Amino acid sequence: MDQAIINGLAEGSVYALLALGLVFIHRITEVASFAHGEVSAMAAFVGFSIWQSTGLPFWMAIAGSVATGAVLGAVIERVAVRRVQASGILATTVVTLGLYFVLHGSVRAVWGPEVRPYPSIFGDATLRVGGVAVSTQHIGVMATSLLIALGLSAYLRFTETGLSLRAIPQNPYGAAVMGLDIRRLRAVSWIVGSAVGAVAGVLIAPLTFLNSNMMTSPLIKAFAVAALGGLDSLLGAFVGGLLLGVVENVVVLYISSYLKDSLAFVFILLVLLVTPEGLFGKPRREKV
Amino acid sequence: MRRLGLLSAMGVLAAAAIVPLLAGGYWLYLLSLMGAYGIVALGLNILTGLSGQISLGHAGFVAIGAYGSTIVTDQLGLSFLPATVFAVAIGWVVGLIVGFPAVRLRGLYLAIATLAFGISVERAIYHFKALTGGPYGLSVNPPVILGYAFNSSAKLYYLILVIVVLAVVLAANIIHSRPGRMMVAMRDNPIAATAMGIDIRRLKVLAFAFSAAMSALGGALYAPVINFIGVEHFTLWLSISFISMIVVGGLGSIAGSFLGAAFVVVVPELLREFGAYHQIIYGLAMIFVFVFWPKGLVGLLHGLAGLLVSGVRGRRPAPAPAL
Repeated sequence: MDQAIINGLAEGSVYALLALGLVFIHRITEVASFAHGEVSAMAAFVGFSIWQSTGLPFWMAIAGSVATGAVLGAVIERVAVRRVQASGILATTVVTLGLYFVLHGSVRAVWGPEVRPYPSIFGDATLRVGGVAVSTQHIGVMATSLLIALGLSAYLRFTETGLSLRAIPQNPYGAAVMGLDIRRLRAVSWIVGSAVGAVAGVLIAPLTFLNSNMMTSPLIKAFAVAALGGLDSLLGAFVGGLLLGVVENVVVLYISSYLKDSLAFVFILLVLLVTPEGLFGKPRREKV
Repeated sequence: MRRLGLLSAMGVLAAAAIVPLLAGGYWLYLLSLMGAYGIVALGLNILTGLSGQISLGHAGFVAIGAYGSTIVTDQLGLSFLPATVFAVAIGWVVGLIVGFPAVRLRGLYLAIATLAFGISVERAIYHFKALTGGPYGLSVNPPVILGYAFNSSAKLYYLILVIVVLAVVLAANIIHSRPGRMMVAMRDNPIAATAMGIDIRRLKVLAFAFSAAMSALGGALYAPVINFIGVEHFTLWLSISFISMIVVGGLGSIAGSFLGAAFVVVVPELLREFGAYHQIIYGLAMIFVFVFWPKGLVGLLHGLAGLLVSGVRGRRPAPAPAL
C-alpha cells in the first residue's frame, strides 16, 4: 500500500508536469493545446539526437530539449494559433489537433517507429526508506514537478510579466488599452508552457522509452487532470495529477489492472457532472 | 442556387450509380468506405457544424454500431436490416446518455468528456472478450436481406449507396427545417436562443442522440466493408479523423461531410509509399482550412461553381483576427 502510494505520487508527478504546461498556456491564452504532448515528444527526440550525434554531456542535450520546446511554442503561436485566437474554441481545438497530426507525423517521418531506451538524468539507483523502495528517478521527477509548479506560480504572482500575463484573460481589451503588448505576452505564455512541456517529455521518456507514441496516453491523462482542476488552476493541475497517480496505483492493488486506464475517465466524467467547471475552477458568467 | 444544388446532387448520384461498371473492386471498396465514413461525418457535422458541440469520442459510437450489428447478426441470427436498426437504436440510447452531461458541459470540458467516452468504449471492447473477441476482433459476414447476400464489392457498394442517399435526404430535411435552424441559433448564441423560446437542454441532448445514431449507422456499414472489426479500428485516431473530415470538407455542409470522408480515405492511399506523411498532410489541411479557408473543400467547389455560373464575383475577405 505504501509502495503503491509512492509509485502513484511519482507517476502522478508526470501527469501533473504535463498538465502544468497545458494549464499555464490555457490560463493566459484560453487555448487548450492538443499538440502539447507532441511538442514534448519532439523536444525529447531533438535532445536525444543532439546527445547521440555530438557526444555533448547529457544535461546540455536536455537544455537543447527545453530550447526546442520553447522554439516550437513560439512557432506554433506565431504561425497558427494567433490567427485563430479570436475564432472560438472549435477553431483553436481543430488547429491544435492539426498541429498534433503535423508534429506526430514529423516525428514518425524523421525518427521512424523504433522504440529507443532513454537515459534518466537522475540515475536509476534505488533507495530504501522504511520498507518502501524509491528510485532516484522517482524522487527527481517528484521534486522537479513540485519546483516547476512553485516556480510557475511565483512567476505569475511576483513578477511584472506575470502580472501582465494574469491581466490578459481578465480583460484583453482593457489590458491592451493599458499598453500591454498582448501578442507578445501570449507568445511568452506559449514559450514558457512549451518549455515546461519539454521538461515533461525528458522526464517521461526514461519511463516509457523514447518513441513517437509515448505522449499520447500521458497527454490524455494530463487533460483529465487539467479539467479536474478547472483548466486554469496550476494548484488544481498539480494536486489533480498526484491524486490521479495515487488512485490509479491503489486501484490496481485492490481491484483490477484493467480499471487503471479507464479510471481517469470515469473519475473525470463524475467530477465534471457534479462541478462542470472542475474542482478548482471558477464559474464564468456569460453575456448575450 | 438551390436548383443548381439539386441538379449537381442528381449528377453525382448518376455518376455514383454507374461507377461499378467502370471501376475495379479496390476502388469500390474505397468508395464504400467513404460512404460509411461520410455517414458518420454527417452525424458529427450536425452535432459540431450545426449545433456547435465538439465531440472527440465519435469513434465510440461507430464502434457501438459496428459491434452491435455484428454481434446480433452472429449470435441471434438477425439479418442486415433488423441488425442495423438495432445498432442505430443502441447508438441513439447511448447518445442520449452521453448527451445528458453534455448539457452541463461547455466547449473544452465537453471535448474532454467525449474524449473520455471514446476511450472508455475502446477499453470496454477490450474487456468484454466473450462478446467482442477482445484483442482478436470479430470477422464480419456479408450483409443478408431477405435471403439475398451482398457478397461482392459491387453489391455492397450499391447497398451503401442506397443508405447514403437515405441518410442525406434525412439530414437535408433536418438541416433545412425547424430543428436545424434552432441548432444554428443555439450555436451562434445560446442565451439569445433561450430568450427566443428554444429549449436548449432538450435540443442539445437530441442533437447528441441523432449524431450518435448516425454514427452507429456508419459503424454498421463500416463493419461489412472492412470484413473484420478489431479494437484497433476505433481509437482516438478515428475520432480525430472524423473531426478533420468535417473541417476539411466543410462545417455544417452535407456535401462537405462526404468530401471530407473522401479526403481522409484518399490521401493515405496516394501517400502510401511515404509512411507517416499522410498525417502531416491531414494536419496541415486542418490548420490551413481554419486559418485561410474556413469553408473547406465544399466552399472551394461552391466558389468554382459560382465562377462558372455568374462570372467573377467579389468575395469579401475573411475578417482579420482580433487580439
